[in-house]
Amino acid sequence: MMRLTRLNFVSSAAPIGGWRMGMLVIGLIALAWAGLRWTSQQEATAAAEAQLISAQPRSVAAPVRSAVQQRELEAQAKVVGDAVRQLNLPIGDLIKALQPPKDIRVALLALDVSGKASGGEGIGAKPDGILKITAEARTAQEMTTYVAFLDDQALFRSMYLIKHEINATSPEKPYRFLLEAQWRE
Amino acid sequence: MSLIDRLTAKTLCIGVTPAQLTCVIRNGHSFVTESAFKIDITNENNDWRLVLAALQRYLEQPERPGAGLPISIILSSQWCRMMIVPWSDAMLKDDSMARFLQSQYMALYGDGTRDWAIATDDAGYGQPRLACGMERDLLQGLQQLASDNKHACQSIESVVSVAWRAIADVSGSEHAAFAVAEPRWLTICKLEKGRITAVHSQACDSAWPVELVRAWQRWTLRLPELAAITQVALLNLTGEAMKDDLPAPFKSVLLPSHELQSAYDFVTCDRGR
Repeated sequence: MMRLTRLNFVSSAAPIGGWRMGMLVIGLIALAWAGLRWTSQQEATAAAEAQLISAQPRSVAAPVRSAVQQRELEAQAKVVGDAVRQLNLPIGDLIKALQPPKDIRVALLALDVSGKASGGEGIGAKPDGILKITAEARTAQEMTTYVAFLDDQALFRSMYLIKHEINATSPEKPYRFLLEAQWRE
Repeated sequence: MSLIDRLTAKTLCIGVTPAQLTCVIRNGHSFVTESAFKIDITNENNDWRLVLAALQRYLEQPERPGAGLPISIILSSQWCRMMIVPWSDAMLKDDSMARFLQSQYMALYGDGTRDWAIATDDAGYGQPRLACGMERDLLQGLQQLASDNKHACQSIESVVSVAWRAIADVSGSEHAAFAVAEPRWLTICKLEKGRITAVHSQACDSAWPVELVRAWQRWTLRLPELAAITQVALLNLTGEAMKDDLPAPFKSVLLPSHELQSAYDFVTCDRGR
C-alpha cells in the first residue's frame, strides 16, 4: 500500500502499523527466543561449571609436624636412602673392573665403598659413589701402570692417586698406595 | 491507520478556518455520534489571533466534549503556504534543512516568511519534497493552547494533505490530480503514486467554480504535462452546494456524510489517517 502525503508540524515517530508492526512482532519474537536460549545456555553453563568444580582434585593439607619430628623423619629418610644405595651397589662389576691384568702385578689390600658422591641420594637415583682402594705394587712403575689401567675403565669417572709410600716393614719394600675413584653405572 | 490508532482512545479533531472552528471526536477509524459541532467566528480580516482566542474560549469550558483527549488540528490553507522544494543534501541534517527551507520560502514568498515554521513530507532521498509553511506564532499558539488545556497535540496539518487522504479513503489513491475548494481559497495538486508532486494555491474571492477552471487552465500553461490528466478529483469544502457539475477534467468526490453535517466535518475527522 502506497504511503500518502502527510505534512505534520508536530514531529512524531512514524505510526506503528503495516510492515512496521510486522517487523516489531518479528523482532519481539526473535528477542523472546533469544532470551529463552540465553537463559537455557546460562543454566547449562552454570551446571557445567559446578560439575567442573566438583571434578577438580582437592588439595590435601600437609600434616603439621614439630621440628623434632621433622628432623627424625629426615634422618630416617637418610638411613633408608643409604640402605637403598648399598643394595644398589654393583659390587660385582666394581671388583671385576679392579682386577689387574696378569702383566700388572698389584695386590689389592682394601676396598672401601662407603663413600658417596653428591647427587646420588634417594630412591631411584642412579647409583654412584667414591671408591677407596688400598693396594701394593713392587715397583713404582707397576703402581702407575695400575692407576693408568683403572683410569681407562669405563666404570670409573675419575681416578686419583691420593697417597703412596714405601712399606719399610716388608722385606721387599713394596709401594703401598691409596686410590680414590669416582664410579658410575 | 496504524494498529496503535485502532487500539488507543479517542481523538479530538479540530478544523480551524478563519470563520469557523469545527470539532469532531474520532474513535479509531470512525467518529463519535453527535460529537461534531461548529463555532462561528466573525473574522473579516482572516486574523488567526481571533481564531486562537475562540479556540481558547472553547478549550477552557469545563464540561466540553473531548476534554483531555489528544487533539489533531487541521488548518485552513489560507494560513499555510505550500511549495515543492527540490532535493538538497542540506536536508540530511535538521539544522541545515531548516536553513535551506527558509531560503526556499524567502525566495518564493519574500522576507516575510523568514521566521516561519516549515514542515515537509517524508519523500525519499533525492526526491523533491512537499513543504508547508505557516507563521511560527500561529503554530506555537496552537501548541500552547493544547498544552495549557491538558491536550496532547498529535498533529497540526494543512487541510490539503488531510483532504487528499480523505479522497483516497473514499475513492482510492489512483488519482493523477485533485483540487480542494475551501471558502475563499483554491488548491490544486498533481499526484504521482499517491504523493503530491506539484501544487498550485490561490485566493478566490469570486465564484470559486469559475475561478477553479481558470486556475487549472493557467496552471496547465505553466506545466504542459498537466494536459494529459483527464480527471481531477474535486473536494468541495466550501459548504456551498454546487448547482452544476464542473467541466472536465474536474469530477466531484462525494464523501459519505454518515451523520456528519458537511464534507468539512468528514475531512476534519481525518478518517484516512
